[in-house]
Amino acid sequence: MAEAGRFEDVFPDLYRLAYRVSFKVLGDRGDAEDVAQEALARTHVRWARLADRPEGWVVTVATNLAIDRLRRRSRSTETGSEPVVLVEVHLSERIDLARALRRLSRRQREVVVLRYLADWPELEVADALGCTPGTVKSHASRGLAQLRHHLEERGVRGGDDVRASG
Amino acid sequence: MFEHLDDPTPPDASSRTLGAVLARAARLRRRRASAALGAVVVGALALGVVVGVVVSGPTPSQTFAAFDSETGLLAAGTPVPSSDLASVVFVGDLHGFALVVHGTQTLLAVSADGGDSWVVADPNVPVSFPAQFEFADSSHGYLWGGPPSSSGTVPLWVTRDGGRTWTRAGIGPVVSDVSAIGPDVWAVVGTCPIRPTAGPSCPVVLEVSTDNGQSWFRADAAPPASENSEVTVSDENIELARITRARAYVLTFASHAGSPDTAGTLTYTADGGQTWAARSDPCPSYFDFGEQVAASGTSDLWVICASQASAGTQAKALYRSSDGGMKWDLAAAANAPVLTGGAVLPGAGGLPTEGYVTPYSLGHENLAVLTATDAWLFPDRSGVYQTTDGGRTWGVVTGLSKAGLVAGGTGNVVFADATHGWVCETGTGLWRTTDGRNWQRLGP
Repeated sequence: MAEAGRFEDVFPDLYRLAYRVSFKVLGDRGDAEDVAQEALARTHVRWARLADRPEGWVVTVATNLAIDRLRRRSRSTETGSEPVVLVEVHLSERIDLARALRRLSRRQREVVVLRYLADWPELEVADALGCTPGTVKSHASRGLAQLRHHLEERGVRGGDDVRASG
Repeated sequence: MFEHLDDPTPPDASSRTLGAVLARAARLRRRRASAALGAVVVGALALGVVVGVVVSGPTPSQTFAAFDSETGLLAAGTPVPSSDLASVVFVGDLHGFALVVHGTQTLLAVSADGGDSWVVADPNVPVSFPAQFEFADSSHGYLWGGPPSSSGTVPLWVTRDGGRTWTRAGIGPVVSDVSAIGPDVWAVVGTCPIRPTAGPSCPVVLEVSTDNGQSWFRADAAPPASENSEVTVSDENIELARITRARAYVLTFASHAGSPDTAGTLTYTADGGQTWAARSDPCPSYFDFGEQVAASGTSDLWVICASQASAGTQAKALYRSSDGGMKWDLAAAANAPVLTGGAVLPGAGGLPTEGYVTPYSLGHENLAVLTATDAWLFPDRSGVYQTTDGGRTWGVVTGLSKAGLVAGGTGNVVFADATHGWVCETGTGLWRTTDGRNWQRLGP
């Protein structure tokens, strides 16, 4: 996890974090890079307020941007307004993951994304979000249950994989 | 969990990516400023307030709409926001030049009002940032450096029309550093192409022009220096510091190029490059990351040296000479034993450990020396520091923070004379002083 400091010092860690969660939702390298850059630019604008704990903000913004982009992409694909060029094998799974994440509360989504999409340990998630490990465990458990429920409804592989751990 | 959705080869968070992010952030700030201005105007109209202010110019969003929205080549004359400048030079208190990264192009912008406003002079200069550039006056300039070509060459480009057009100079293959005093131009040139893998060091030669870079001849003697063959950016390990038309120093800073005891080698000419004499390099060999030389006169030399860098900090030392480099005194130091193999300098203090003095610092230098007592230092990823006691103590320039400079970026500090100076923080903004004490932010 990046320590608080100057933006340029923590930029590589934050960028990797934003890219990782964006790619998991979008599955497209160019789109994920664009989302990660936009999330980091917005972070830079608010750096004076975010410098102590930027990770939660970065994850939230990157996830929201990625979900919006995937939604627009799905809509344009459905309406045929753009040529369908997406043959990505996990596309439907990513769409369902985005839908499931959208249903979580903001705090649940931050915890779930940091804990399960970025694969951070509970203690680091708690540190990044400024809450206790117990709170993280609680949000993770409830968020995970909702995520699993939604994904299993859709018959998605991730639903089978979702297990509370750590 | 969801590992199967990961990118198996995620991209690096490179300095180019950071530059793109900072440029986006600058555009976001401008949009927010424009939106705030719009809200004020709407509010005033709603209240029926007659605003007795003549708005002399367009709103920021209108002014820079072309720069922000167009992705291809911009037309000459297109306004450029000062928050997007990457590196600046000035040839007086009015005429300035700046390199700007715009999409995939590196463009040259010019200012004729001391940096208040900038417009495109050349939308696609023939080098990529980070590059070096220098102007002798408002017409004659030189551009070199940056990533080498696929064949390992780094040419010199010359302009006679203020940067609108460029002609390739007939010297090479690797132009390492250039310095112009009026029409009299010197170039230190490596004689082997840059290779992607390590190879033997390559001797350099001195090329001289007396007609603003139009024609060149090789000096009788070559500086006893070598260009590293595997450097990735030209000018990474050679610095040319001209004091007068005839006197100059060439610093080569790489531990393997210097003697075993020092970080680099220093050599001096007093006869226009006909003969060269060795001067001792004061930097111990553990300062093997960055070294820069500057002078305020024919005898007053400053050398700053820096260790490997880590987590935003770096050991540094400043040495002064009052006899042209024959004898050196340690003026200030910042110890960081973990970065110097446990070595420390006695009586350390005065210099900050924060920030990096680097070999090429994104196309510009970190140290600006004005007189034997006054100098400015802008280490990368740090704030701007000033000394008024010959380098013994350095203090953060608080006037810049008050004017909105947020320490932590990279950029350069340049002075046209003792009172007119500019600080450019790459992708963030431009600040100016006209009295050497007070600073104001220019543009958006």
